[in-house]
Amino acid sequence: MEPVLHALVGFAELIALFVIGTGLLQNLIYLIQLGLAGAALIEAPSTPQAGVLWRRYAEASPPITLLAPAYNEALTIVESVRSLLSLHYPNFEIIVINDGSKDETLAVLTKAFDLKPIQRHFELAIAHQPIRGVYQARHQPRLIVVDKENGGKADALNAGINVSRAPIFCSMDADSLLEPDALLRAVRPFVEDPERTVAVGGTVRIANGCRIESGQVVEVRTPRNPLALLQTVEYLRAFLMARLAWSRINALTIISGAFGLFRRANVVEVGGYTHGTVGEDMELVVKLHKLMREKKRPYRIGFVPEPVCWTEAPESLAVLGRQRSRWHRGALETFERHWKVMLNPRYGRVGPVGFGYIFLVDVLGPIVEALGYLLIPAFWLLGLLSLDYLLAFLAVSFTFGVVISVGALALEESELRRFPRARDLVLLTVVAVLENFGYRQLNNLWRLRGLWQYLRRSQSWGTMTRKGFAQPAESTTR
Amino acid sequence: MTDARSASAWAGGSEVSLLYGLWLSSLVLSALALGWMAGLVIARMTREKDITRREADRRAVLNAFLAIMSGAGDATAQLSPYQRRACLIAEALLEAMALIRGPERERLIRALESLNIDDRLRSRMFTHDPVGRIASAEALSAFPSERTVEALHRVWRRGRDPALRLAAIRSLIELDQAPTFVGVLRELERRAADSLTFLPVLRLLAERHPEDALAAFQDRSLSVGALVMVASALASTGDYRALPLLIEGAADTRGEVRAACLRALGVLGHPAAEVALSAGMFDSEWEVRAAASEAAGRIGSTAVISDLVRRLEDPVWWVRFRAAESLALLGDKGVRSLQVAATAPVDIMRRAASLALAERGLA
Repeated sequence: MEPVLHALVGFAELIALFVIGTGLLQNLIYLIQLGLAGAALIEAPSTPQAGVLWRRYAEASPPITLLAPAYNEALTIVESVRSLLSLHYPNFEIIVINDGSKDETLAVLTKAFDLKPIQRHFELAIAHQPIRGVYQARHQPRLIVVDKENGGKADALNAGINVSRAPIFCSMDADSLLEPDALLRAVRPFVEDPERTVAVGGTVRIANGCRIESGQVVEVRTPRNPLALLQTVEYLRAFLMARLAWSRINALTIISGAFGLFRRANVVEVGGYTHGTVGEDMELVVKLHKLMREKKRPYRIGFVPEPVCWTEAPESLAVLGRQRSRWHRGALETFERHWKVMLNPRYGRVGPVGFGYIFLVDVLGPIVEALGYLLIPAFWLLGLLSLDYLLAFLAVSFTFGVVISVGALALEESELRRFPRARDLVLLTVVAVLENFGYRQLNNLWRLRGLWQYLRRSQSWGTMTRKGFAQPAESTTR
Repeated sequence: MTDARSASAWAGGSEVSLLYGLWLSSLVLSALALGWMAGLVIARMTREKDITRREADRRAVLNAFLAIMSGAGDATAQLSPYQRRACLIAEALLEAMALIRGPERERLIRALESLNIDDRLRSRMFTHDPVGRIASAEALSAFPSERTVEALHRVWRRGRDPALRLAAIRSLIELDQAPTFVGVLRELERRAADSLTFLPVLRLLAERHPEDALAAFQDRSLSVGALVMVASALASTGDYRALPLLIEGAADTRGEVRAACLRALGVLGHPAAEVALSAGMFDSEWEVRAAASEAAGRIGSTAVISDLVRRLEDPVWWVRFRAAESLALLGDKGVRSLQVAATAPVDIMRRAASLALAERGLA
C-alpha cells in the first residue's frame, strides 16, 4: 500500500503544483500587463477635448471608410447610421453592408435615407458572396449601402473592403455606438506614424445603463444588471490593461470586431477576413503580424485607450454564455491555425508574448482551472492534500486577481475618468471582488463549452439577442 | 493532518512558515487593493469638486471674454480671479480664437495682456502637465512680442516633448516668426516616424517662404518621408518655380518620391508636366502609375488621353480606376475615349471604361 500511496501523493502534488504554477504565471503576466499599460497611459495621456483634437489632427487625417455589416438589424439600423453620419471627422464615408438580411433592413434604410441604386467601380480583390446591388443616399453622399448574399460577418466586411476606396477602413458592428470623435482619436497612430501603422484598436466599453440620446452616449453610468456590471470590470481589464499593454510592445494579437482601424492595402494583401472562423477579428490581426514579419517590414499595431466604441452587453446567462463560448472557440481556432508562430523566432515578440499569452490563458487556462476545481478538492477529500494549504493558495490567487482588477480601475481613474461618480468606483471594486465567487467559475464553464464546440468543429454563432439602444436606458438594464 | 498529508512535500519544518507566508501575502494583497481603491475614491471625491469648479470657472472665463469683447467697462476685473490659471485661460482662449477675429479679438488680447496672462502662458510652457504646456504654447500665438517669440523658440529648440515643440512651431508661424523650413525638416528627421502632423506646418511654411521649400527639396540628404512631404508642401504653394524640380523628382530612383512628385505636379496643374506624367504612367511601380494617372486628370490636358486609355488595361485595379476617373474629368474628348474603350475587345479595358461611365451616369 505504501508505494501506491506515495505515488498518489506525488501525482496529487504534481497536479497541485501545475495548477498553482499556471495560476502564478498568469498573475505574473497580469502584473506585467498592468505595468506596461500604466507606462503607455503616462507616455500618451488622453486628449480630453474634441476641439483640440480637431485642431491638431484634422488637417493631416487620411480619409476613412466605415464598414458596418448588418444582418437583420431593421429595428436599430437607421438610428445607428444617423449616429455614424454625425461623427466628427474631416473625410469619411460609411458603407453599410446588408448581409442578406431576412428582415426589412434594406427597406428601412432605403426609406429613411432615400437610397438610389448606383454603379460603383470596385476591385474584386477579396472573395465574398455576390453583391446584389450598391445604393447611395440621395441627400447624404457619404452613405453607401451594399446589398449582398448572406455570407457572415467576415464575408460582409470583405465585400465592404472591396467597395471602399479610402486608404484606411474602420470595421465595426452596426449595433455599436461610436463616440463622436472616435475616428479622430483612433486615427492618431496613423497620423503620427503613417509609415509603420497597419492597424489600430480602440477601447470598447459597455453601454448598458448609460443614458443614450440620438445614438450617442450622453451620460456614462454603471449598469444596473449584475451580469452587465461584471462585464464592465472584465472589459476594463481586457481593453485598458491587456490590449494596451501588448500594443505597447507590438504584440497585440486581437483588435475587437466592434471597432478597429486597418490599412486597406495590408488587409487586401493578407486576403481580408478569413471565412469559416468565428474569430475572424483575431485571425486578421495575426495574419497582419505574420505578413509584416515575413516581409521584414517595420510595422506597428496600435491601440488607443480612450473609449471610442460602446456596445450592449448581454444581460442573460444564456446569451452571455453563447458569446463567451464563441469567443473562446475563435481564439482556439486562431491558435490552431498559427500556433507555429509561438515557436518561430522570426515572429519576434508576437510569438512568445502574444501567442504564449493565448496558449496560457485561452488554451491551457480553462483546462487548468477546471482541473484545479475538480482535482484539488478531490485530493483533499482523499486526504492527499492539506486543506490549510488549499485555502491559503486559493486566497492568494483570489486576492491577486482583485489587485489586478483594482489596478485596471486605477488606470481608468488616473487617465480617463469616464465614470462620473465616486460611488461607481466603489461599486466596481465590490464587483471586482465578487466576480471571483461564481462568475469566474461560470465563465470557465462557458470557455470549456467553447473548447468542446471547437473540438466538434462547430461553426455556429448562436443567437445573439440584443435589446437595442433605442429603448430608454432604464428598460435595457432591468 | 493525516499520515498521508504528512507525507506530502509541504510537510516539514518550513510548513508553518510557508502557510503563514501565504496567508500574509493574501492579507497584504487585500490591504493593497483596499488601500489603492480607497485612495482612488478619496482622490475622485476631491476631484469631483475640482471638475465641477473647473467647469464653472471655464464658463465664467468665457462669459468674461464675451463681456470684454462687447466692451463692458469692468469686464477685465472679472478675469482677475483666474489670472494665475494659465491652462484654463489658454484653453478658453483657444476656443474663443477659433470663433472671433478683428477688433473684438484685439480687445480681448489687450485685456489679457493687462492681466499679464501672456507672462503666465510663457512660464506655463515649462512647468506642470503636458496638456497645459501644449495649450499654452498654442494660445501664445495670440500674444506677439519679443518675449513670446523668444520663449517659443526656446521650447522648439530645447523642449523634450515633440507635441509641445510642434505646437511652438505652429505658434511661431502664426506670429510670422517661423523657424526656417530646413529647421523644421530637421525636427521631422529627428523623429523616428514621419509624422503627418508636420505636413500642415510644412505647407504653411512653404506658402510663406517658397524659396526655402525649393532649396530644401534639392537637399538629397533628406529622407524619403521628408521629401514626400516637401513635394506636397511645394504643390500647395502654387509656385511654378517648383515645376522643374518636381519634374526632375518624378524620375527619382525612389518610387515614393516619384509618386509624390507626380501628385504634386497634378496639384500645380501646369501642362509642362505632361511629359513627366506620360512617363509616370508607364512606371514599373503601380503606385507611381496610379499617381500619374490621377494627376493627368487634374492637369486637364487632352494630350495625355491616349496614355490614359492604355492604362485602362493596367493589371492593377487602382491604376485602371484612376485612369478612368481622369478620362471622365477631361471633358468631351475624355468621355468619348471612355465610350470607345467601353466597346473595346479587351475585357478589362471595357469593364473599367463602362463602370466609370456608369458611375457618372454617362453610360
